[in-house]
Amino acid sequence: MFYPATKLIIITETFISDDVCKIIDACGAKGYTLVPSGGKGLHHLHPTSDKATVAEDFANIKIEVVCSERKIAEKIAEKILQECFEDYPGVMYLENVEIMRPTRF
Amino acid sequence: MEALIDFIQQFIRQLQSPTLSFLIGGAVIAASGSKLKIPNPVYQFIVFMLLMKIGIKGGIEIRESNFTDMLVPAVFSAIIGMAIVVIGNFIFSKIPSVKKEDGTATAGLFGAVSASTLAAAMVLLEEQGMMFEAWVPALYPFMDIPALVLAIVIANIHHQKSEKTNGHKVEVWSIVKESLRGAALSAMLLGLALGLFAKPDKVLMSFYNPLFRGFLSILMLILGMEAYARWRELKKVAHWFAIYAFIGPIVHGLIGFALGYLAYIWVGFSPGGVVLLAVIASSNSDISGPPTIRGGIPWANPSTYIGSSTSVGTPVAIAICIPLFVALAEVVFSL
Repeated sequence: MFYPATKLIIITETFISDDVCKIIDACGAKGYTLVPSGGKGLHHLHPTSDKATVAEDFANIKIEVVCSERKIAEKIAEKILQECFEDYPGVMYLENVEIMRPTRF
Repeated sequence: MEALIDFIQQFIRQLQSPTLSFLIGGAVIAASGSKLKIPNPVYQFIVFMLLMKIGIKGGIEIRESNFTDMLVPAVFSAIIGMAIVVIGNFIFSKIPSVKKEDGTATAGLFGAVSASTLAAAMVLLEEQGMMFEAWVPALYPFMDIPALVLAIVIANIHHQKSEKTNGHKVEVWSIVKESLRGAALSAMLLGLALGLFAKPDKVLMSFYNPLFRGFLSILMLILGMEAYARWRELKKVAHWFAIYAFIGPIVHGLIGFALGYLAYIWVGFSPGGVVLLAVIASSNSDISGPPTIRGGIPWANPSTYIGSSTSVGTPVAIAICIPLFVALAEVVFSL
């Protein structure tokens, strides 16, 4: 049996992923998924290869949070926007998803 | 005139060393579009190996040396690091097309120290048989940390003034902690402690020592490849950064050499030590500095400072400054 839920996706620099995850926890989400990421943004291409780089912390990461209630996802997104994205680059979007075992989210 | 010819000959000989030729080779192979890539974990492991070896060796030799000798060069290191930031900040503030924060961040990285440049210089000095005190590599944090802290403080003061906000207070201690926890410095400090308090002589001789040069050559290859890759990024920002990154290391190294020479006269600092001091002054942070600057001055554009340091600053420090200061020392100290 599937139940409707909201997934918030945040793509940002690995450098601030700790701060973003703290906000997610503080807003009451029960967990999140971290995926190494890359792609083309407004400025330039962020590589996905594992080739040696002197500035690893600038690599991109995708953080996915599934929330049982949309307002939690919105609250997380707004807080991240205010606290992190003023100085650091990032992309956020919501998706409607369907989940099993809603008590986990 | 004879001194000049002597100097040029020394300089050319240094350029042919394995360290520098690998650096140039890396840049050439990246420019040719080669598919060769060295994975990031290998790079991180190499940095660990090199700094661990430098640390252990320093630690073992410090056991037998007098710690007070270090005082004057350590104070000079801090002065050099901060002077580079102040000078760089002043120069960039005179260029209207450069954003204040980008200039300060770049000056901060150039005041900070590169572990790979330090390792390359140590190998060259050993090849030359130019002696230096074992504690000289431990001057690294004395120059690195004050420079990064000063750059972040200057940028934050300016930011608060221009934005007319109180903003967040700069926590100097947290910057110091973050620097000490960086990959390169923590490996070196652990090595120093192991050398001082344990007996790692056997593992140093059988493992770290024999691998040092080989790993350094791979590191140089990586730095050459990165230099080429970042060059494209730097080209997108103001050309002033490239000019600063080319001239800066040479001028900074000369400041280091001058103060090192003072220490030579005052407290008998070794000629090899003077060269290493000049080299760390000319070097610019490539491993631990960028994240610290990114955290402390988030509104500065990373393409400017990482591009300047990786694509121009580090190659200039390794390929020009190291041979330059070895040659200069041979002339000045008549070695």
